[in-house]
Amino acid sequence: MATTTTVLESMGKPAVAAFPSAVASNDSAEFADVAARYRPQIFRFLLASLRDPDAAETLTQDCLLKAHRNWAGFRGESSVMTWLLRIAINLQKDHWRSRRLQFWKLTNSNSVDADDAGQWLPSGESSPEQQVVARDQVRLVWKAVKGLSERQRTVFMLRHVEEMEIHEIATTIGLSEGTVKAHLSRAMGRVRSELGGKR
Amino acid sequence: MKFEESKHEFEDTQVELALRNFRESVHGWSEQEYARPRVIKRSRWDAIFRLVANPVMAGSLASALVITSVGVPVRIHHERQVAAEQNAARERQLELAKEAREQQANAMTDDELLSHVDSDIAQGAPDAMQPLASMMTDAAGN
Repeated sequence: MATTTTVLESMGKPAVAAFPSAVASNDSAEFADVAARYRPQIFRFLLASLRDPDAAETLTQDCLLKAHRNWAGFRGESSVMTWLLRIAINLQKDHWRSRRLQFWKLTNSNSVDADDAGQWLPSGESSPEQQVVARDQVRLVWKAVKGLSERQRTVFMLRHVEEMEIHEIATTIGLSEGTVKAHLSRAMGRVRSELGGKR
Repeated sequence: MKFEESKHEFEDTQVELALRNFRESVHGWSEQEYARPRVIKRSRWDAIFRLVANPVMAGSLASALVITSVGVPVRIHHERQVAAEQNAARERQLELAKEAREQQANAMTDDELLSHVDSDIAQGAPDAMQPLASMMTDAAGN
């Protein structure tokens, strides 16, 4: 019988903490595949939302652990990714709440500043001038994201980082499509404003 | 009108480009961070929460809390009661000793009083009692 430890190890990461579990081996094997497939995307979403690699890693582990515990109860009404992201979003909310919703106002030793986060650029074949422009654009988008509300930021990340459709975002967050569009519109307004657009 | 449209188109293109750069930047950063080995750190609050969430630990903490909140006041009350009883016994002993001393003093006074009374009693019999007194004297003489 596979344990949670072996499941986590199969995700390509060492399981630092051993978790007690007693689940059927079929379920564990199935979940190990799911975790290995979706783990990078969950980590990426949490990293972009939190800007804290350690926190993102911890919450990714927590997310998969929660999902593993409830895997038997997952009925497939939504896609696995939607379900996992929903868990991740709830964990992220708890994380922010535990830090008194001050995350974006505080800069602790683990979190990465928006300017630093903008330093990661794709290694394209663009010229140095284009790279400078791109770096500046990324920095401005991060600056705009920093000023968004928690919900607007989540919607923005799901739409423009994870490239999810509006109806998928609505299902994931549990809002109507109209509300998602409204949040996205406000977020985009701020991004445009930061980038120097008038609209 | 055409100028405005073309301006908007240019802005949209710039925004689209910025968003694409942002997305690729986040993806690149994420890939780099994902590949980096790290040890999961948990906050103190998280550790406390996990401790409390554990049923065994929660039960132990609840028991300790009940014992502390009930046991300590009971113990204090008991200690106060014992101290009060000891004080009362000590005071009772002091009172008894005081009474004994007073009785002794009173006893001395009674003796003195009796001797005083004896000395004060008239030796002579009243006239009405003279026949009886003479009889007593005669009987004693015989």
